[in-house]
Amino acid sequence: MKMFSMAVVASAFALGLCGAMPVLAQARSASEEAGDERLRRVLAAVAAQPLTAAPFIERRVSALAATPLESRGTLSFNPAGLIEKQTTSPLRERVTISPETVTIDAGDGKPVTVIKLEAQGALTGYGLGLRALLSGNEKLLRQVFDTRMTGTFENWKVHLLPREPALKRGIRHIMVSGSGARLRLIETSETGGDTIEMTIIPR
Amino acid sequence: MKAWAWLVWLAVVAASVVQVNRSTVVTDVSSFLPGPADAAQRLMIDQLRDGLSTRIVVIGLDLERASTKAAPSPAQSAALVAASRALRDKLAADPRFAWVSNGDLEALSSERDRLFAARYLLGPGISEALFTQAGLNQAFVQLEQSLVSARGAMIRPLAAADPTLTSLQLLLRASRQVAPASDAGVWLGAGGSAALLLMETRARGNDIAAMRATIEAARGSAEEVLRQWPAGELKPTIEFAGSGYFNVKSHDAIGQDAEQLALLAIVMLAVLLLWALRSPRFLALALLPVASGALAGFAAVCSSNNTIHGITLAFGMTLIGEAVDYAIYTCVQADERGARNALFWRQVYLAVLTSLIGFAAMFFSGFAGLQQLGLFSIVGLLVAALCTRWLLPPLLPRVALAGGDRFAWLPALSKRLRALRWPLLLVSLGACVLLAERHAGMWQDSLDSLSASSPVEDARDLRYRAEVGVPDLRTMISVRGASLEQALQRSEAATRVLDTLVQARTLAGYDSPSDLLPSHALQRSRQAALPAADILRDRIGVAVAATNLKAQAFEPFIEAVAASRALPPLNPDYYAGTVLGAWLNAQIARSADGVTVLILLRGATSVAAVRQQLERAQLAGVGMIDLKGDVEVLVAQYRQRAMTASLAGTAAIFLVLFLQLRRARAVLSMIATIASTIVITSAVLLLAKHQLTVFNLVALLLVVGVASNYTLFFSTLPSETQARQRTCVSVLLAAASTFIAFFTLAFSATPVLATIGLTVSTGAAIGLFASMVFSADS
Repeated sequence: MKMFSMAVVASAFALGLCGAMPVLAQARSASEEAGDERLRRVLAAVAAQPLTAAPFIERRVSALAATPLESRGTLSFNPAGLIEKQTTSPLRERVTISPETVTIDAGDGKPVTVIKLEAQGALTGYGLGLRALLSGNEKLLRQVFDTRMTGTFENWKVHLLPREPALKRGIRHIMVSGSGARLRLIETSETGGDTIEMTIIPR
Repeated sequence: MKAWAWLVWLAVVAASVVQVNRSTVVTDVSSFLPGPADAAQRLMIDQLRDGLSTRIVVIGLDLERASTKAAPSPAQSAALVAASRALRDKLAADPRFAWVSNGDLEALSSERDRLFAARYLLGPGISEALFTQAGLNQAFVQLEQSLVSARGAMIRPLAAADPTLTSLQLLLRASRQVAPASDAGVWLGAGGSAALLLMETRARGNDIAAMRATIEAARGSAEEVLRQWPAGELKPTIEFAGSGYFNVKSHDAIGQDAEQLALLAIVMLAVLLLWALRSPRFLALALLPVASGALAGFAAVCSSNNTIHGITLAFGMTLIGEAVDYAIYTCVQADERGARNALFWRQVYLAVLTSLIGFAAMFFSGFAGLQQLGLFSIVGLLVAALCTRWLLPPLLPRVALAGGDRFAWLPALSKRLRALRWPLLLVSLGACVLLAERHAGMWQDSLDSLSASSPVEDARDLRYRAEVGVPDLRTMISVRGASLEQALQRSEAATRVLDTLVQARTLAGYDSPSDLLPSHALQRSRQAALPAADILRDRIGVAVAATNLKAQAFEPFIEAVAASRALPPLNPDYYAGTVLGAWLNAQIARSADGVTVLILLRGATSVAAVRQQLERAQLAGVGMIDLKGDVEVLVAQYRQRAMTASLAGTAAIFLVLFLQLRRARAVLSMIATIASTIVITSAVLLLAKHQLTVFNLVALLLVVGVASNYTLFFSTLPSETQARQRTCVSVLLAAASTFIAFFTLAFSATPVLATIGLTVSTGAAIGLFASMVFSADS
């Protein structure tokens, strides 16, 4: 019941994307271990290894389902700030995030949804957080999320808590883990009670 | 002997003052239009007068004018969002507004809740097919897939209670009624540089005083909110859009213009007359017939229903230009000794008569606006003439034209100008050819010719409305029924036709009251399609077996369906106190003989195609309202009537002149003067303005009046030098005063007044010239 207009739809999309976004977020934060120095190291490492069509499996644990709902696809991002989450099953869908817009293309002939990122919104929070990660901008990342790093460079976890109210309404917290420059797992806990595990499969 | 005349005058003035005091000035266009001919036109006029479109106001906190930069800074954006929220809260608490929206959906939770609770009575897809085993199997497979999609965020919170996603359809449909907000959660228009709020005023658009108070209240609240604007940042300006706002603006503009320009004209007239006649006393006395005439005309128009249209008033005030002529003629020409005096009064009497005939033609045209103008002019001129005849002569100073030599050149000039009669006739012929050639696209009948708003404001109005998603309120479908139920059933039939138009992309969408409030018949048929709880539970069990979903999770769905089966049918008050309820109310008009509901259209690529499809379907009670098109038709009718009236009036004037003067030579020169004045003036206006409006036409009638006065004197010039000079001077002064009064008006910001001013001042100048060219000795 969180929708009524495109605005809500927009923030809803943001939530829908949280699988993808945290991936990136985590990718950036992955290099960080116990403090700013390690966070910076992880960010730099992940940023140096852009993802190109990395396969993923996403498992959503929901009160509506007896077993986790699974979806599969690939994830890409490049230093220019363009992020692409391509889902191949159970439905085909392509989500693209640029610094200005989020585009959802179901590939079913229905109109492509384009959402503009504007001031103060949930999507803007994501966009900012994302770009912060991609560019290794720790300061910007911390503006969007309360960021805490645990573990070692070889086995790190970045805990992200949304700071902006608009973002808080959809996401409780995000945890990104990886080893070295490799991003392995993004766990997102939604305010609605669902949790999502997105596993990036090594090639 | 004159005591009785003064007594009568006093009585008339007193009665007029009493009448004027209890009258109000109205400015809405509809009251100036001819009365509605049929039910559809009446509905259209009602909508134009005080329908929903007159109560929708958009307020913008707009950085556009303050800033030259394209995009606002993040700090400005944040401040705009904060100001939008603060202003919304302030206005929502103000009882002058039925509802206020800044696009913030958090504020619309009660709308969402009501739609959600009634989803199984409202859902367009609710049918028996949806609840069969096959239908539910499909619904659950789709649900499982949707839950993991990027769009799933909208679905997940709803799914347990609404796995068929019925409410999603409703919410998306309703969201069209509330336009997309920005990602910031409120409407930011113009590339993010304007915070926009949409509201419905309780004041009706034609209630100028209430609407002005409402707008001022909104402006006051906005100013208060902007006091919190961060120091050092560019401050937005407060802008309004909406026809109610424009009504207030045009009302004030007409009033202000009339006041300022009348003052300016009077000052300039005074200077002119003082210079020519050197008699301050004359000035004071000349005002007597003018003021008495205007007052009586005002009172006469008001006497029927205590209102007068602003346009009538403004036009009437310009009669100053003609009424003052009588005093000038009297002052300069009257001569109590000789036979000339009798002749002079006969000429004044003829001058008044010809003007009266012109305006009588307007009065008998049968169109409300023209009738007002005609009545005002007839009464005004008559009273002014009577004052001139019976009150002025003993009081007026005999203007000896002491410095009469100053004007000695005038009769000689008029004599020399006679050489130009053939060239002038040739020019008139050329003008006729031009008019005939441009005949087709000559008239501009849109409402814009009546509007007082500037192009900048019109553009802003369009932009604001588009950005907050106000549907096009000029094109609507009206559906009549004996009862609300019948009207809704008929709207449902109409929406089936509209659905095909939406599919064909002729129409982007529509808002039908039957979407929010289906007929009871349709609500009951949807209830009948809902299965009993046990049956539904069994079918869900089977349906989820093909998925990872678990049946127990959907108990809220089973409960909701069971509850919906028992719901009493929804009535309009189900939405009371919500934005949806306000829209619904505005779209339902009850009258003594039934109910009319209005279906609003969005993004029609061809209104004609919509009309055609609806007509082809031959639906009972369904009609189309096209405010712009219908008004254009009305204005064109009005204009044609005015044209007929003018032609008839002009013919009557010629006839009267001929009957009275019985001198072919004189009458011929008068006809030549009037005809050439009219065609040349029309051609000049057409060349200058490209298109003429009904107000040019009405003003031309006044031109006929003044030109006939000039030519009346110039076609019967006395041979005696002194008298000849006096006649020439008086006509020149009269023409100059008319020219000054109307030329001043031509600078009015109100298009109607400017049009009248330009037409009459051009006509007066050309008329004076033509009457000299065609002058003749008596």
